[in-house]
Amino acid sequence: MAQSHAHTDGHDHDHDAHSPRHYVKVYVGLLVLLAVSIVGPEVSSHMGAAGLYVMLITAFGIAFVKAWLVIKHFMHLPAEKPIAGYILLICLMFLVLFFAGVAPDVHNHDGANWTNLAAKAEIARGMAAHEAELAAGGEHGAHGEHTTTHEVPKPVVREPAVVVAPKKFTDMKTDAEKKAWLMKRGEDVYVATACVTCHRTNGAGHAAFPPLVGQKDHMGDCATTLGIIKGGMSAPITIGDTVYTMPMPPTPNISAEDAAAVATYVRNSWGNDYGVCAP
Amino acid sequence: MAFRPIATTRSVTGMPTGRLAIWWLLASEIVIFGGVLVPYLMHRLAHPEWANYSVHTNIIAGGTNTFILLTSSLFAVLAHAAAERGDGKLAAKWLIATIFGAIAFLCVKTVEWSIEISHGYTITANGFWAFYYTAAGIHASHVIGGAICMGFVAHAAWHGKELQRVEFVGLYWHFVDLVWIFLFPLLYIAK
Repeated sequence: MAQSHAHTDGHDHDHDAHSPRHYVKVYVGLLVLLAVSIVGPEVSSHMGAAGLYVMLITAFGIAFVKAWLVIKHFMHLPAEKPIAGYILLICLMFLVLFFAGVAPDVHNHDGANWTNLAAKAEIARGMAAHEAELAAGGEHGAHGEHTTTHEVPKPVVREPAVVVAPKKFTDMKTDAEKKAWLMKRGEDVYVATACVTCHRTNGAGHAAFPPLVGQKDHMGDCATTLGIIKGGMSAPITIGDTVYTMPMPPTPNISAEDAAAVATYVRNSWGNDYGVCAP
Repeated sequence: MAFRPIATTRSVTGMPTGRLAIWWLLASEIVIFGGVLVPYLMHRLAHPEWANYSVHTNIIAGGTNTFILLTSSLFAVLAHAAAERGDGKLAAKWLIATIFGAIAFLCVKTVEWSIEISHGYTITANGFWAFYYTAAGIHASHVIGGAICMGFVAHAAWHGKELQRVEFVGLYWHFVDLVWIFLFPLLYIAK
């Protein structure tokens, strides 16, 4: 059969590579790889830390092998004139260039003079929604069993930088629970709102914006801190040799719980230990 | 035939110009699909919460569609083999089998998306689902376009005309298959 090939377009590679039997062999190989790429990651989820590598190799490593089988045996690229490969390679290199240029700004959510508030808020919202989903019964638990109502939790609709806390403050009983709730909630609000833009994730401030670390005198008691958060601050303050004159905008619509959470967070983070502020 | 298009008669590069054009098309497709998949990868790595969304993709539907596309790729290359032997009718039959593969793929996709959308996982739900529907949607539109082209090529091949186009449309189809080979682990397997 292979000898009867009529070459219509000047291909000059061997006849076996174009026989139907050869194509079927490659196809069977592709199906075996497909099966491995589905089973591998399923198995890897029960393997703990090593599972990640098994997943990566079986899912993505095999994808490259499959792709190469298709390119080599179905598309005959290695037997093609080199120009075809060069054209494809040029476009692939554009992609690599694109990735190298853009990825650092997408991967990092904190830069020297910027913070990706939207991304941070989105992560906080997504994680909190997931925790809430698990707490609500977790129909999508490890076994994937649905409750009798077949109610699937709806994904949370996108909202402006407002963070959903998994549990209410009023559910917290002990002082330790209350403090933990306020700290978590405070951090979420802090990174999701304008606080972090000026005071930074490490509370050190930058440029015209004062640090929050070690400023017990300026933070005063809870009432003072809450007053600054809600009402802003326009009077200049002096820390060491630096006079900070940049006014801080007010946040009049912040809820009592959120204000207390942020106050607790800034008063008890980065080495600060100035006590909890109850809502 | 009195008239033959330049693309099939003249060759500067040593390959039929029509096939060179297909390679150019595929190269531009690399950038089109890469333009979606590369940002998806960047965001996926930067957003740990996406792992909670991707568990809701249907690996059975994705696996079935991978199987369908691999099978249709085999049909496409068998059509190419038949065209090489000058058997236009057999080539047309394999191309029609490939078109049925495309239709089966789109049917699975329709059922899959209907279920997901009815559960509230819409394109506006969050970043993951936005990428999911955009990437798979662009891919599905290529499946539709490829199936239509194969219809024309199969019709001509049945009458013994333009048999070189069987290979060209096959190359395109293998590329559509290739894209799915990468979409499958990216959207369905990586949890």
